[in-house]
Amino acid sequence: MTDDRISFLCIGSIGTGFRAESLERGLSLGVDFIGADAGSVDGGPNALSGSRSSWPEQVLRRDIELLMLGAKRHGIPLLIGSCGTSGRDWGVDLFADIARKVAADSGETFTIAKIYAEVPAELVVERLESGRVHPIDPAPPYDAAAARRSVRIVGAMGAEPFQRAIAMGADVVLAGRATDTAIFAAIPLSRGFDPGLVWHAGKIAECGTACTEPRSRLDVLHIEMGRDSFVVQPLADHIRCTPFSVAAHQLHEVADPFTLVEPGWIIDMSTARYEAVSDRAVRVSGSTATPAPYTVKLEGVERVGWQHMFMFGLRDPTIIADLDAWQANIEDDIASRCAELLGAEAAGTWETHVRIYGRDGVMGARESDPRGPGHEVFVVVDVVAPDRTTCETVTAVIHYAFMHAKSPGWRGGTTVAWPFPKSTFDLGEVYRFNVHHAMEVDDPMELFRLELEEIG
Amino acid sequence: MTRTTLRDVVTSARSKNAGPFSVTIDLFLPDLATFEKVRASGVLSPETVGDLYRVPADQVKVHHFQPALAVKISMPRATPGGSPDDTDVAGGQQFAPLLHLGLPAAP
Repeated sequence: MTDDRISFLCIGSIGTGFRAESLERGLSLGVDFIGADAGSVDGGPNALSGSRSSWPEQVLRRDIELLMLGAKRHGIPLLIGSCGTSGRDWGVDLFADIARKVAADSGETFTIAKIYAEVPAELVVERLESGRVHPIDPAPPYDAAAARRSVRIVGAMGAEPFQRAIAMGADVVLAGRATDTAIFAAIPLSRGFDPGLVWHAGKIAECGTACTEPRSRLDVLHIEMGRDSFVVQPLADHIRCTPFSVAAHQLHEVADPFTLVEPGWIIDMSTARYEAVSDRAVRVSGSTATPAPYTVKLEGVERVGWQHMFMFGLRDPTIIADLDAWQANIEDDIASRCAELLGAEAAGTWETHVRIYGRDGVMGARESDPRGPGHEVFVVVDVVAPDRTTCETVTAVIHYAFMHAKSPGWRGGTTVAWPFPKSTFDLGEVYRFNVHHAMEVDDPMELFRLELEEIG
Repeated sequence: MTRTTLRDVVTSARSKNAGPFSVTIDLFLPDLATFEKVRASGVLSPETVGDLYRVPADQVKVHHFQPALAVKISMPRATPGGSPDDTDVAGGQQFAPLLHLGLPAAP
């Protein structure tokens, strides 16, 4: 197909809500598809390890229903990537359940494509052993043992699985982990639009109206692409795209603003141009894409242990005058108390982190500000141990040590300022991202399982 | 005379994770002249930034991005985002120490 023009609507974050009137306005312009990103790794490893979606199910249902019914009414496909925040299989099934309810309640029928993106650890091990897994700087050490420690691994799919689903007749695509850009690039690429423009547009599309000003909550963005440029604009009147706001988005959540690496492509955005078309629309051109060896980025998490925490305030000037000495004193006390109560051999099976807000609570070892704290200080202490029982026990001992930590200025002394009567908080099982690598594949579809289903 | 710092000249500053293993900082400058002045001052070199954050200079990447009059600085995170020992899960406050860097006085 050699269309001259394609246009689409972009949703940056399903489950956080967008304006229904913006969606309607966009649909009334006559667009070719709706793309929606539902994923993020910014919340940490828990979404991939097994906790719920980052967003409440009621809002997910509202967003998905508006998108499905709007797309249906206009006879256009809906592509959703990274279902359920992490794009693990559970997220695809969650979104499929919601889609079935939407279909049943509306009396409409849909062909949904579920694309699963979890990757078996043994496949990764095989590719590691054949030298086909490559670090993406900065990457942690990664070997067969690390892959096998992962409680879950997903691969971020490129454009091809979406294209396959559309070619098979899906009108709603529910994809597991996908690169944010691939959701928006799939259909324009298959219609022959310039890959440099397409991927650059995908980069802008993936956060909806994050590329607008003034900064406001995420809403629906409209992109119209021709053969040599594309035009981007918001659909709500109170925000606008300017050359500055759209260019600034090229910086968003990437370490390098000039180069975008996608499965099968490297995109050079250093030659991109941004021009105002009106006071709220911007024309973008000039990026170029070059085919590259086909790799899929892996995301994986491993279990670290169980975590408890407690927190308190300090107002005593004699403590605040030398926090380091006060902390060292408590740590000595903790070490001896733990050895007495839990046995010397248990030492080293847990770790504690003491975050002293007012000193270096935010920056940790990267703090360089020489100014001391103000008149009060907040302290957050956590304990990570291999299992829940050990964690509870160790936390209780350490909590008691802080409760009776001596003030250097006074005889006796009382306790610190506990903000809540509840003493310690159970944070549950905790995980760590353990891979930042790209894996070579034999075929863009190799890691991804596609299932079509008629619903309604 | 009071010292001029980056905080006095930037129009906006932000930081965010760039994936689970990197943090990236964007500093926006008000006009091309200030953008060029900051670039020429060398105050945002990998060495000065690395010293400030105690990160080896060869791991600090500095990009000057003229279309948005921005300087982008990326470095490895202290720990993967959201790990149990993390202090800033989304990396949202990591830009702040840069604001105190001094700029050379105007000639």
